[in-house]
Formats: sequence, C-alpha cells, structure tokens
Amino acid sequence: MLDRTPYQNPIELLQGTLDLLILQTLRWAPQHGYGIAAAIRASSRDALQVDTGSLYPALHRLEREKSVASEWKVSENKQRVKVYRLTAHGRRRLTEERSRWERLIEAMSGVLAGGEREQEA
Amino acid sequence: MKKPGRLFGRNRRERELDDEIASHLAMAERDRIDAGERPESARAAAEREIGNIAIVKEVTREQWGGAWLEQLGRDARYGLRLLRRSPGFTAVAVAALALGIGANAAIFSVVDGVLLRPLPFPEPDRIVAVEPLSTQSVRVPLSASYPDFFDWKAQSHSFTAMASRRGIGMTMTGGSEAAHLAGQLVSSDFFTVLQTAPALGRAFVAADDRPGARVVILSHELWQTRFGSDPGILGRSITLEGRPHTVVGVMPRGFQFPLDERNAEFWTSLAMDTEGEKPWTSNRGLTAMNVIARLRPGVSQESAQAEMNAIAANLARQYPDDDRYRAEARVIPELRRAVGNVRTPLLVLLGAVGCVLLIACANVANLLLARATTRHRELAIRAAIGAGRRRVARQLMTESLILSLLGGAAGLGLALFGTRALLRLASSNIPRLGQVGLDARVFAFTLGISLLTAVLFGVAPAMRLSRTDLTESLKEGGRGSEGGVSHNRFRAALVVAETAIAAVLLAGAGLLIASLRHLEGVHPGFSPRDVVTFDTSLPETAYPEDKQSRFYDDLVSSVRARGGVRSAAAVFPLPLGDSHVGITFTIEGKPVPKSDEPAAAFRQVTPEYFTTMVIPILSGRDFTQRDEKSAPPVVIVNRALAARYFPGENALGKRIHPGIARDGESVTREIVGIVGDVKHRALDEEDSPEFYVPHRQLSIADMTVVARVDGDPKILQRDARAIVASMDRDVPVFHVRTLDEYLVASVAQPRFNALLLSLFAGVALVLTAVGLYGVLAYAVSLRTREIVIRMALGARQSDILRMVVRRGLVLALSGVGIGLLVALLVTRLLRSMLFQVAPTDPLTFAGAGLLLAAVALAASWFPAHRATRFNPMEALRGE
Repeated sequence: MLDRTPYQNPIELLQGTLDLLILQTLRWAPQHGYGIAAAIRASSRDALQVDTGSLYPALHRLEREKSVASEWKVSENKQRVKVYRLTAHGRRRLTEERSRWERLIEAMSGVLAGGEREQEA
Repeated sequence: MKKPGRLFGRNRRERELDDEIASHLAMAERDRIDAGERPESARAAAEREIGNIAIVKEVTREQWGGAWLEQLGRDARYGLRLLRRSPGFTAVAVAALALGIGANAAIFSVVDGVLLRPLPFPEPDRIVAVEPLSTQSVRVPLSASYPDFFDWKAQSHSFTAMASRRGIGMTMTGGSEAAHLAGQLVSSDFFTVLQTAPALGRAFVAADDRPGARVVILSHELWQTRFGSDPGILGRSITLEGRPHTVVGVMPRGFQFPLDERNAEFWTSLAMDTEGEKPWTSNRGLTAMNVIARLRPGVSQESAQAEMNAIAANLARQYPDDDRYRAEARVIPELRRAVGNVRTPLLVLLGAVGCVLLIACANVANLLLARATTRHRELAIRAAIGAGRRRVARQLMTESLILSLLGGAAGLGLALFGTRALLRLASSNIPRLGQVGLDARVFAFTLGISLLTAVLFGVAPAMRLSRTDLTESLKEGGRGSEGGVSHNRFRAALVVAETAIAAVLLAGAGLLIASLRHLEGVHPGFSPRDVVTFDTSLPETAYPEDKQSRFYDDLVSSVRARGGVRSAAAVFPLPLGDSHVGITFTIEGKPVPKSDEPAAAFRQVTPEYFTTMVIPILSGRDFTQRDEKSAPPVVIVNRALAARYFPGENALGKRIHPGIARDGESVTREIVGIVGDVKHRALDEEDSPEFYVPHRQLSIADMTVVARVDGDPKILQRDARAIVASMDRDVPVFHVRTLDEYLVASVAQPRFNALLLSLFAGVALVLTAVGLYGVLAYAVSLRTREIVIRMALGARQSDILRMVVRRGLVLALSGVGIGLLVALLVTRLLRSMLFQVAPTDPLTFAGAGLLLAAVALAASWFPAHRATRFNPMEALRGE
C-alpha cells in the first residue's frame, strides 16, 4: 500500500540550483554521478544531499543541452563508470548561472535585512 | 516503423542507464563498507538511499527528449509497466470500461444499421414518402387512394418521379407445392423513384400499368431458391393466383423495398388494380396505397411539403365525400417514415448505454484517484526534477488512454456477442435488422468513444494530481493523506453523480417494466391459449365467390373432424394479425354526410368463430350455416359499436349499411348479435367499434383458420398442409402458428425495450455499488487512526458502523434525490413507449429510489463492518 520510506531532504534545493551545483562540481575535473553527489554533500558539510532521483535526470538533461559531455571509463576499482565533464558551453552556462545566483542572493539578503530592520523598529 | 538504428540507439541508451545506476549502487555500497558497515546491510542501505530505482530511471529517461511520438511511446511503455504491476486495478478498470464501451458499441451498431445508414439507393436523401394526413382530429398519416395518387402525380412539380405501392400476397403454383409469396404491387415509376434497375431484364414501363398486363419482377432470392438462378428466366411465364405472369426482370441481390414490411419476393405492376367493374384505381374512397417520390434536385422538402399541402387542400374541396378530412399531405424522408416506430425506443436505449458509460467513467476516475494517492511520491519526484504540470498530466493521460483502449478492445469483443444477442432478442418488426453488424463504422465509433472515455475519466484525475504540491507531499513523507482528503471529496462527488445517473436509469427501466406488466395484463378479448392458426389463400380464378365459402366450410369441417380439435372456424382478418380492415358504415334512419360516415373494424367469419376464440356473445346469436346468400343479410357488432352508436337502446334488430360492396351490390344488414370487444391491432389500443359479417354472405379468398385444440398444437400444425392439400394441391398453407405467438409478437417490442433498459439499469446499479464501496473503503482506510482512537475512547462497534454507513447513505441519497429530480424531466421522453403509466409515476420513482438506497446500504455495510474489526495495535503500528 503506502510507501513509508522516509524521504529526507534537509535543505530543499530550489528548482534549477541543482544544475548550478553540478556544473560547479565539474569545474575542475570530470566526475561520475556518485562522485558528484558525494562532492556536493562533502563541500556543503552534509547540508545538501542530492537525491538520486533528481541527480541523474539533471545530468542527462545537461548532457542533452550539451553543457556536459560523458564517456565511459574504468575506475580505480575496475568499475565501469560514466564520467561527465564540462563542455565550453557548460562553462558559459556556469558563469551565467553563478551571476544569476549571486544576484538572487544579493536581492534576497537585501529583502531579509530590510525585514529585520522593520522588526527591530 | 522505427528505423533499426534508432531502435538500437535506444536500447544502448537503456543499457547505459542501467549500468550507470548499477555503478552508482556499487560505489555507494563500497563506500558504506569502507566506512565500517556490514556488507549485508550496506547493499540494502544503498538501495534505500536511491529510492525507487524504476522511477529514477523513468524520470531520467524523460530527459532524453526526442520526437513527440517517441515520448508518447515511452509514456505508453511506462504506463503499461505500471498497469501490469497492479493487475487488480487494471482488471477492474478495464472490465468497467469494457462493459460501458461494449454496450455502447452494440447498441450503436443497431442504431446505425437501422436508423442512420442511408437507404441503399442513389441520392437516398431525395427519396420521400408522401402520406395523406387526417385532418379530422389527430393528425395521423393515412394510406392514399389511387385517384388521389394520380392527381398528386399530375399536379405536383417538386418530384422527378412518384410511385404507389401496396403489399400483396400471391400464390404461385406450378411447382411441387403451392407457395404463398409476399410481394408489392407497384406503379411503373417505382424503380425510377429508387433509381435502381433490375440486375436482369427491365424495370416496369407505363404499358405495364394498363389492364391485362401480367408482368412480374423477381427478387434475387426468389430467383435463386425457386428458379435455380436460371439465366433464361426472362420472358418465362409463371403462374400467380392462377394466372400466367411474364417474368420481365430480376432485382439485384439484397434489393429490398419497402423496409418496414415483410421482405418482398416479387414486384408486380398495378394492372390488376385497374380491372373489374369497380376498379381500385377509380375508387377514391379505397385507401390502401403508400406513395413514394424522388425530390427534384434543388427542391427542398419544405417547398415540396407546401406544394403537396396545396394540392391536398384542393382535392379536399373538389372531392369532399372522400377527401374532406385529408386536406394535408405530409412529405417526409422515406427512411424516417420506415423507422418511425422504432426511432424513439432505439434512441432511448442509446441514451441509456451512454449513461452506463458515464457511470463506468466515474468509477474508473475514482479508481485512478484512489491509486494516485499511493503514487504521490512518484509524482512528487517528477515535479521535483522539473517535469512541469503538463508533463505529468500527459503521462497520466497516456495511462488513461491505454486503459480506455484496452477497455475499448475488450468492449468490442463484448459487443460482438452483445449484438448477436440483441438480434436474437429483437422483435422482427424492427426494419433493417438484417443489416446490423460490426463494421468499419462501428469500429470507428468504438475507437471514438474509447478516446472520449479516456478524456472523461482521465482529465479530472490528471488535472488534480498534476497540481500535487511537491512540498506538501514530501513533508507528509509520501503518505499523501492531505491530497487524499481533498481527492476523497471529489470522489464523493463522482459517486453522487453516478448514483444520480443510476437513479434515472432505474426510474426509466421501472416505468417500462410497469408499462409492460400492464400491457401483458390486458385481456385481448379472446382466449389465446391452445389455438392453432394458419393462413390459406384461394386463387380467385379457380374460386369464384360461392366456391370460396364452400371451400372454407369444407376446410373448417375437416379441421374440426381431426382428433383433439374442440372447435374451429375461419376469419379474416385475424385480430392482432398482420392485416387490418376498416370499413365505413351508415345507420338506417340516421343519415350523415358521406365524409362524416363512421368507420369500424371489419371481419368476415365462419360460424363458431366466437366459440373458438372464446369471445362472449353478450346478446343475440352466433352466425349459422343458414346465414347464406339467399337469407336475410345479418351482421354481428361488438359492445363498443353498440354502445357508441346505439346508446341507451337495444342494438339488436337495428339495421346498418356497411360501405363494403361487391360488384356494385350494397346491402343493409340487421344486427343479430352483440359480442365482446377484442383488441384489433395492439393490446394498448382502446376498445373500438367492430362488426362481423358471415362469410357465406360475403366471401373472401384469403382466410385464417383458427382451431382450439386439446393437447399438443404441433399435431394439427403438422397436419394443416396435408388437410388443405387433400382438398386442393394448389392452395398454399402459410403462417402456421398459435394465437399465443401473435400475442407474444404484439408485445415483443415493448418487452425488448423493457428488458434492455432493465439490463442497462442493472449494470448501472452494480457499477454504482462498486463505486460507493470503493469510496467508503478508501475513506475508512484514511481514517483508520481516528477510528481506532474513537474505539479506544469507548466508542462501540455499532457507533463506528453507524458512522460509516451514514456517510454511505448520505452520498447515495443525495445521488438518488438529484437523480429522481432529473428523471422527472427526462422520463417524458419515454411517454410514447408507456402504457397506463405516467412518466412520473410516483410508485415507480419510489421503488427506484428504495432499490438504490438498499444497494447503497449493502455497499456501505462491508467497509463499515471492516472498520469495526480494526486491531488497534496493528492499526497504530501501521501509522
């Protein structure tokens, strides 16, 4: 009947932010899906846990729009893995997404700071 | 067809996706082991972390994009996988849809074959029937007379051709045994109106209409069965009614006209009706003809109608004696005329199956919503990865489409059997039933309603579910009870709607059943039990008047002499049979203008007819063998005639003058007996005036023998042919039946309607019960915790029971209330099909409501009972 597996998502990702996180993670080196998820978790100190059900669709979508490219490699553990790398187009998108994100943060903190002042007054 | 390369490409992509997820799992597992977890639990933990792998793959696949068709294919495959995974749901939904769609396909095949399909002639829309309308009181269509028909034809300009026709039976001799053939006596333009030429030979020409012409065109079937498809048949002479007729043509296979009478085996010209001292063709008062015509191109039915009304009004002024109350002539499409009687019942049935389909749709929508709550997580993930509402809705609609197409396919299978069963059940007086079958049009219709059905039951759930709020669902940990409650409200509305529709159907079916019961309770005025009937027809050439009555006297005595025959007589026409004769009469000493002469049903009978039929002789006497030509002319009238025309008087001894005359002779007859009323044409008619004359005083060539027997009627039925053959080998015996069969046939149509409507109402009832059960069971499962807590706090089982049942009854009774209100407005459509029952009969409505309420009570009982059996520990642990 009802599926009772807990569905944890400590901080919900805003729609579209997952793309940015993936692109950012791939900036220095190609990586496979599991590695990307682990890297995001590690660099956010476990605050951001990427759901597999969101990660792979996002990777495949980015691949389709040619922001990333993929190839099959054999890992150090003799495991066949699909490794994604950033394309030139992906780099441009990363820059765009970053600046958009920064504008959003700026706007958000402006609003939130204003709200606090009002409360204080 | 997809290119192999594409197919291969997709397979590779599928494999790569599998590998990618597998490697993800493997890495996750290894990391956990590295971190110190035990290998057995590491795998499970990794899998749990990923969640539902099938859904992960599915939503990933969706990112691949591709052509619209490819996406649809993917949706369809995914949908099929889902349906396979819940076979119970799929089976119930497909079964409900198959019932609804199958019933619609079956009824549509009948409606299409009988009502909709155009006549099988060139430009069939232009073929019209022209009928005089009675302008005396009620506007009913009448038969036409030859002189009127000739005047119409000469004076009208709206038609390219106009022809008369009348049904006729003729005896063919010369073969191994005499055969009675059904045919049509038509004017020479008949085939011009239909624009259909014989397959062999020629159509009739004007010369064939002149006295003395004896020509005949055979039906393809008659040509095959009686003449072995002889290609040299043209010009051959065959003997009809003792006279040689030249075969001038053979119609193409399948040609039939008209559609609402017995299939014609031959067509002959109207020469016969132009002969004799007082020919039919010059008797304006003798009305027995149907008229067909072909509208001239560019002339509308309305303008033809206006012209015909003007002509009829003129004739009424010119010939007031005969045409005073025939001052209008109706022009209607021939197809419409031929199917006029079955149109309303068939459309009512089509409406009823439409309702059944609506109920099925509501049920499936209900099931979809119930199932959807368990799919909340999947839908939430889809939303999370950015699948828009539209995308989710499309996936859901694809699933609905698959369901409805499966239902449609199964329904078509049902329709195959359903149509066959319908054809067996249907009364033979539905025209064109032979053409009914599952063909391309029915397939197209079925596909069409399957698609429509998917929209009906799929759109609401798709809209509601695609709106699913991601945050809410995830917060609820996938339980989806919030959505569940609001869905449940919507589902409750669906159940109320279902119940309402079922109530309308039940009320309708109840009315038809009540009506049928009244009809079957009608006493026909005679006793139909144990009476064998058969028809014979004497060729007039070999049997002049005096020989006719002698033949029937002899025949009746031979039948009477048979073992097991209690009494026997002969009559024409048989009540509730195929023919009806109405004759005008005048009452001695009470003159009226000719146009206002009353008419009454007319029968020619041998003595002992009343005894055999068990029609009471209320006063006076029966005819005897002494009532012959040389004796004083006598007549027996029924109670209705005596009461209407001799109110407060004793009708016995009064004299009336029937308008029937042979060879110019006209007689005034003394009433010697008064008998009980009988139904002439149908059980639902009012008792009306009728009179009988003895066959020795007015003989007739065709009569029906009636014999009341002890024991098995089959013995006499088997012997009838031999008895007649021993008297004259050239006299055919046909329509060997029992009186009961005529009675059954006369209620066949109402019985068919009542049976089908009840069947559909029954299906509606079951579907509604299932729907109600589903909603309540689901509501109970949602409220498990509440119920358990209530019980823990001391609520008794009966309280819980009452709580759930009350909810069921509230839903059902709202539906019943709405349904019966709608029925008040809708059942008036049934008015023409009802007998002695008002379309808003309170008893029937109450019965329908009670039945539905009782079924609803039963459907509510089971979920309620289950609620009282919750084990508190288990229920709470389950939470």
